[in-house]
Formats: sequence, structure tokens, C-alpha cells
Amino acid sequence: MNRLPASAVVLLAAALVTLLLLLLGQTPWAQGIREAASPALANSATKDPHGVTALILPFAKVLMVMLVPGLIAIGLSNLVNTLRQQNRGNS
Amino acid sequence: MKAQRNWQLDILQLVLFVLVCAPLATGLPLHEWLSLLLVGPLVLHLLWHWNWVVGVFTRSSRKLPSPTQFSRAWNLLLFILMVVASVTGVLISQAALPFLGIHTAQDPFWKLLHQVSANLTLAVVGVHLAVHWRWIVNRLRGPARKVM
Repeated sequence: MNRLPASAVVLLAAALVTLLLLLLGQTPWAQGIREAASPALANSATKDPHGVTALILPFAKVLMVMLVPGLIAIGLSNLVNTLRQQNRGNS
Repeated sequence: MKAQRNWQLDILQLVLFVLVCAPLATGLPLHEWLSLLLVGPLVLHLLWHWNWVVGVFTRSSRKLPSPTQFSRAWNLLLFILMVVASVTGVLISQAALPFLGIHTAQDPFWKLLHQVSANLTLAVVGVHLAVHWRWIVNRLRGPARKVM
């Protein structure tokens, strides 16, 4: 079985984190998507969280907003390097 | 020694930055005081990498390798965003500056600009960390190997 390229793994991780971010719905665009998908769900999510959730969610949002572009950058960089190496190998 | 010093400063910056970026968790007064505190490590970070800054900004793009060109543009973007976020943050301060006797006008335009620039800064910092990912991984592996 061929080994999955590192870039694919990293881009997949970025996609998964993005999905998690969408599910958490902590960004305005995610909220927009959620509102379009289900108004009832969006209404329940706009209520202010309490307790530990209120403390953790903002940090989760911060880490994920940093993580997604970072992972995409690493994935793309790996992809470009792999393609360059393949081109060198072919020529 | 120099790498260790940079590493410690970078960790301090990252911890402070994450705390600063979550005002809903920390509360507004702590958000503002920590933001002011973050200025010190950020200025130090810039000064400690000043030779690199001068090196890449005094040469023409053609003489620089592609990754360095990207780093130069990205760091410039990060610098501009951080300056905008900091200045607008000062303009809309509700706790730290009033405590120091400086009263600010609560203009919605500056608030919006502060939010947009701060959110963009988060994403740009993510890529900034990704650019130096190998160095970060090496630093993380380094001390662990020595301990074992």
C-alpha cells in the first residue's frame, strides 16, 4: 500500500479542524452557515455559554483560528516540495 | 544560547498572545493589561531579529530565495495588522487607559477595525508559526532528548 503523502495528511487535518470550528460555530461566518442550515440550531447556539464552557470556548476558537491556516500552509508547502521532487525525478 | 533565549521569548509571546486573543474568557480589563504587557516581548522579538529584518528589506526581491520573499511579505503583513490592532485597541480602551487617567472615545469604527485586524492577526500568526514549524519541532525535540 502506498504511503499517504505528508501534505495530504496535513490538509486532511486542516479540513477536520475546520469542520470542528464550524461545529463550534464560534466565528461569524460559521454562525452564518449554521443560521442558513437551521435557524433553530443557530438560536440555541447564540445563547451565552456559562461556566467552564465560557472559559474554554474562546481559547478553543483562538487556537483553531491559528491552527487551520497554519496546517494549510504546512500542507501546501509539503505538496509543493513533493511536486518539485517528482518533477526533478521525471526530468 | 541565542536559540534558547529566542525560544523562551517565543513561548512567552505565544502564551500572552493566546490569552490576549480571548477577551471573552479573560475579561476586558485583563485583556487590556495583558495586551500592554505583550508589547515588551514583541518589541524585543523584533529587535532580536533586527539583522534579518534589515537583511531582507535592504535587498531586492530577485536576490532573495522564494521562501524568504514569502516570509518578508508575511512578516510585513503581520507587523501592519499588529500595529492596527494595537493602535485601535488603545483608542477603544475601557479599562487600562481610563485607569491611568486617559479617557478614550468609544467609536464603533475603531471597535470594528480592532476586531477585524485582531481576527486577521490570529490567522496570520498561525501561518507565521507554520513557516517556522521545523525550528519549533526541533526545539521541542531538543530538550526532551537531553532529559532522556
